[in-house]
Order: sequence, then structure tokens, then C-alpha cells
Amino acid sequence: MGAKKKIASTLGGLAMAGAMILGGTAGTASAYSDSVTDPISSLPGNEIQSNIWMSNTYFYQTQRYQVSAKFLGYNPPNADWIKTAWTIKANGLGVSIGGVSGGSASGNTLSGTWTNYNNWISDYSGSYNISGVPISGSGNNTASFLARGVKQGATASIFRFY
Amino acid sequence: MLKWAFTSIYSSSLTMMRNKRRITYLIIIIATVALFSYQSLFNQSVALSKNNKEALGEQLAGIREAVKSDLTKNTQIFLTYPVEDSKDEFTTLYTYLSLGLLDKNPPKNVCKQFSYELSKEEFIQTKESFYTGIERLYYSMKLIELCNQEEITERTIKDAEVSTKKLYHSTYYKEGYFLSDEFKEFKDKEGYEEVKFFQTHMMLKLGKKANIDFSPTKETIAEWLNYFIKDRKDPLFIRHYIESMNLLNIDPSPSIIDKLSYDSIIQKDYYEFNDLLTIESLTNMHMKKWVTLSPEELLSILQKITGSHSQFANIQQQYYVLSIYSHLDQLDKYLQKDKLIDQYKRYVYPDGMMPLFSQTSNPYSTYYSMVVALKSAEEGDVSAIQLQKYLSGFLKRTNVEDLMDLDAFEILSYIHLKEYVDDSFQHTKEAEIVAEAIKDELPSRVNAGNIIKTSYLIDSLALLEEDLNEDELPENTSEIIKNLSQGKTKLFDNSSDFSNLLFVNSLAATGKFSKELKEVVPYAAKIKIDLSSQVPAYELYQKTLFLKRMGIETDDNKIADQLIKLHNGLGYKLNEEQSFKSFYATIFLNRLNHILLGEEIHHDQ
Repeated sequence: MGAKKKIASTLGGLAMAGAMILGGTAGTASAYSDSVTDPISSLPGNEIQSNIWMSNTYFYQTQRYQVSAKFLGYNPPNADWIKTAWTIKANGLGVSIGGVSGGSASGNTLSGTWTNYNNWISDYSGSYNISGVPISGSGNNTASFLARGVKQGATASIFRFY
Repeated sequence: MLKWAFTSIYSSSLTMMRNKRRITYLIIIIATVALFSYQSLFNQSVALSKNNKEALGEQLAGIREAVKSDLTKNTQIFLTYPVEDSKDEFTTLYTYLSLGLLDKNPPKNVCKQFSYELSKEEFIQTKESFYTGIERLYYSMKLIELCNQEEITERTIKDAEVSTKKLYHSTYYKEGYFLSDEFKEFKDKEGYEEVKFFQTHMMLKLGKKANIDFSPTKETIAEWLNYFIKDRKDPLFIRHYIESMNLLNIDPSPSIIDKLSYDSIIQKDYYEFNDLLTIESLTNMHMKKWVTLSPEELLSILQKITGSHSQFANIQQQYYVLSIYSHLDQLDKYLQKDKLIDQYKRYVYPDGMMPLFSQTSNPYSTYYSMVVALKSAEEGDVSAIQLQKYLSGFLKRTNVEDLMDLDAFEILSYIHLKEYVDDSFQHTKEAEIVAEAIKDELPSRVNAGNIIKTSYLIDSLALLEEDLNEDELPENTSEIIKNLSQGKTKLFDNSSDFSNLLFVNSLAATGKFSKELKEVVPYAAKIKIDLSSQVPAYELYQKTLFLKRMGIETDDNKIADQLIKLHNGLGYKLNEEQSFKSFYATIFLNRLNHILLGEEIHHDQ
């Protein structure tokens, strides 16, 4: 049975995670943050966690963000690689993102990835500035890993007003 | 104006009539007519046309059904949002593999796109995509094989052959297996035997199509496969083992089938992803008559997969479900075919690629969006009751301190939810505490950076039926209203019609500044909603709500036309230029739709 579970790995599995409805586990969010933890059925006892945090600053101030991917558990304790990949977007009037530290911006979108090897965590923090009139925005972070041949991902998302 | 008309008629009547009683009667008649005219002119909107009514009704019903399905089947379809401007190879592959099982071939452009990608040298070298090396070529070729074969050029076939041959040589290990470069450095670690096994199977399949002569390595590969399968009983392994041996033209031992073990999986109450993979292989073997499943077993499998309609919330899982239906020759029992195709048409880009999907897990607005959707559900609706029951428990876990750390729209959503589960919430001690905490959060002055937050906080207080003193509001509130009524709409350097409307709407909800807000009506009425601009969905909602609150007639047919244009499948887009539904736009416009159809009453000033 244990062997079978590992199989899911190679056949893929970029399963999305999100708020489970009724009886499930809602993402634990505060201010502008989200955290999603998904079990890894092929690695019993281990979980993949995706986190995203965006600062609660005025839109005309420097915006900060933090993202992370965590491979939780001891079966095994470290992933062969663990990656955090994020996209932040602002919608409004004539919005563009610039002054980026961490990731790269194009128009109203900022994105980036960071991978660590033989580790349980991959995290990143950066900043950016918004020009124009942002009204609402979103942030997604996909945490993915490879461990014992299992590759899987989980996505945390934020929808917010500026 | 009306007052003037009334006075004028009254004066002239006096000069003409001497009989007091007759005058009184006349006044009553005129007053009644005047009042009636006033109501028709300002309070009643032009009735929606039959077509618009039907279209809006369908939109409400579509969203309502999706929410019901999410609640009762946990499908997460309503809460699945395609990421605007994203393109995702993984989703694209599984979408066309799924549609292929429903006899729908990939469009010409996506076939071209994948053929083009295949022609690039880095196609099998990149480590950036989800599938790399052998897997990337294998799944892409599965898609290309579904394309109209007359449209597949010689060049594509040649490119596929070249890539296959390159991989065949570069990924082969002397022990007898194949493994893509991405996994090379981990190959001796625990857990990678299965990766080697499946990649070997994929490579053999690709190699067969590219007419590769396996004979020099055939025996070594078979030996490794035999070593791998030795202690394995799962149909997933045994099926792929037999297929691999067949590709090598070696007959596997007939006793391999006797090793199969699957009873406990079939009998499970719910099939998780890994179970689906096993069942998919088992039913594939049943189809090939390698095993024979009993009618009870077949029935049990069909019963479990009937409720599995994740669609684009998990298209990979959907593919395996469809594949099981297909192996059992029961695709006609898959009743979601039209829905899946319909959704595909809404999500697909002109080049045939599919977007990345994401799900919202905002703590309260997620559920608020569902509450809005269920507003028009029939009395006693099971899913609405289920949601109410769930929320009763869920909301109890919130403390006010944590709540105040959240986005103001989440606070507003929380109060909506509390009211949904308890319509006397406003009069509770908790409501009082929340209201005080919100008052503490209100800024002393509204500025460019806090106008949206302040508006939602005021809206929250209004929803709590707080009797606000004007001096509890930010000190420049009156000044803002005055500026707007004088047409000075650039309140700050970065003002927008949306934030202006949002602010006056929140004030209108409090019942304060009634007279002053009426002066803002000419500005609000003049705002043009350009569906191709950036945030028309927000503006349309705020403008309509404000005018209706002020008792002004709105052109509901025009608004309905705009709703129809912004509607996309299961929700509303932020603007006409966007491809996909947006989270907030869907909440607002779904609510506006309810208002237009009279399912929700807005409160006049």
C-alpha cells in the first residue's frame, strides 16, 4: 500500500488546494495573508503548505510581500527540492507595478519563483511599488516539491482591496 | 419642482373656486395625482424586458446551482477562478485528454502550438515546466495524437521522432530503466523506483511509435521490470508492467494476474486521487479482458465516481474519472459532459491554451459570495440550510481582535454572515463589541489610501444598525460630500469614481446626510460605465445602488444589458476585456442581479 501511494508522484498531481467547504479546513488567513496545507497521500504524515502575505500599507507606499513553501513532516523530513512560485496582481486605473525587489514585473503583474534543494522550506520576501489607482488585487503562491519521487503542489490565494 | 407645481395649482384653484369643500376635494385629487406621478417618475424603474428578465434569471440560477453543488458535493467549482492572463501547460494537457474521451478533438491552434513547442530543442530539456523530459514528450504526444491527423505535418512527426530518439539515448541507464534528467540526482534515493518504472513505460511507448529498435537493451529492460514488479500487487503497477513487456514483445507470465489485489480499494467509501489511479488501471485491464470484474464490483465503482465532478477545479482528477467511464464503456452515464464543454469554451484562450486555476480561501467573503448566490434559493433549500449550519459553528471560532486585523471587506462579509445565521445579530452583545471595535478603526480623516477601507467600515456599522453620530465619522466626511455635490470629484490625487461612489454609498447606508447626499446624485448619474475600462463591474454596482438608494429611476434594461455582457459562465468579469470571472465582481454583480429581479430589496434613503 505504501508503495502504491508513491505512484501518484510520477503520474503528476498539481492538485489545487483551497478552502474546503463544509467540514473541511478553511485557510487560516489574517490581514492580507493566506495559508493552505494539503496532505500528501503518497507520503503519509507529510503535508505541503503554501503561504502568502501582503503588507497592509497604503497603495502609494512601498508594498511588501512574503511567500513560502513548506514541506511538513518527517517522512522524509526534507524534500529533494521545494519551490515557491508567486504572482501578485493589482487592478484599477492605469495600474502598473515597478520598483520590484524579488521577482519581475510586467504591467500590473509581479511574479517570481524560488527553489531550495534538500530542504523543507523555500521562502522569499520582496517589495514593489504601485503606480496608478489600484482598487483590488490578488496574490497567488504555489508551493510544490519533489520528494521520494512524489511531485505535488498547493496554491494559496488572496483577493484584496487596496 | 413638484412642490412648486403643487403650490401653483393650489393658488390658482383658490381664485377660481369659492366653495371650500370643492376646493378640498380638488386638492386631495391633485395631491394624489401628484404623488402617483412622483412615484412613477422617481421611485419605479422601467420594468425589465422579458428577455432581460430571463437572461438575468438564468445567470442567478447558474451561479446558485454551482454553489449548491459545491456545498453538497464539495466540487469547489464556484470557488475556482482562472488566473487572468495565465497559460498553463499542465491544465491544457489534461483538458484535451479529458475532452478527447468525450469525442472532442483539440482545436487546430492548440495542435499547432504544441507542434511548435515540440520543434524547439529545449522542449525536452527544460526543468521549469511541471512535466519535463520523458513525461513532457509523452503527454504532449498524447494530445497531438488526438489532433486531426491530416493537420499534423511531416515536420511534427519528424520532430517527435528526433526528440524520442534523443531521450531514448540520454535517459537510459545500464540497469535497464529510463529516467528524465530532472530526477537524475535523486535516482538512488528511496521512492524513485516507481518514477523509473513509469518513465520506462512511457519511453517504451514513445519508442515504439518512433520505430526504435529495442533489441539491444530489451533483455536488460525486461530484467529490471521483473525485479521491480516482484512484490507488487496493485493493478496500477501490474497493468503498466504487462503493457511494457508487450511493448518489448515479451510475454509476461500469466501468473502475474493472480497477484492482483484490489478488493479493499473498490470497497472504499470515497476514492482519493491515488485510488482513482488504481481503479483506472483495473478497469483498463477489465476492458482488455485481462481481468473480469463482477457486476457488483462494477456497480460499486460507478457509484463512487458518479459524484466526482471536480471539472476544472481538478481537471487531472476529472480525466481519470472520465477514463474509468470510458474503460467501462459507460461514458453516456457521465452527465456533466455539456457542462464541462461549456466551461471549456469559456476558459480557453484563442490559441487553445488553458489558464491556471486558483481557488479563493478568503476567510469570510468566500462564504459571503455563497450566501449572495443562495439568496434566491427556495425556502428550505438543503444546501442553504447546510451552509447556515456550517457557518454557525465556523463563525463561533472568530474573535473580535482577529477580525479587526482583516481586510475591511472581510469584516463586512463577517457581519453579513452573522446576520445570515442569526437575523437578530445586530441586537446582541457581540454586535455591540464589533461595532465599538470598528469605530475605533475609523480614521480621523479620509484620504486617498484609506477611502476604500473607511467605506467598508462605515458600511459594516450601517449593517449593524449603529446609530452613528456625525462626529464619529471622519472629520472631512461633510467636506467630501460637498465637494462631490459641487462636481469636485478629484478628492485626492488618485481619486476614482469607484472609491467616490463607494464612500457615498456607505454613508447612504447609515441613513445620515440624507439631504446632502441627494446633492451628489447629479454627479453619480453622470458617471458613464465603460465596459472596456478597467473596473466597470465595481462602478456599475456602486452607481446603481447609490441611485436606487436615493430613489432615482435607473435604466434597468441598460444595466441588465451590461450585466449580460460582463457575465461569463459561472460569474462576472471585472471588465469586458477580461477573459474570466472575477471574485469581487461576481459578488457585486450577482447582488445587483438580485436587486434588479426584486430578489433583494435595497433600502431607500
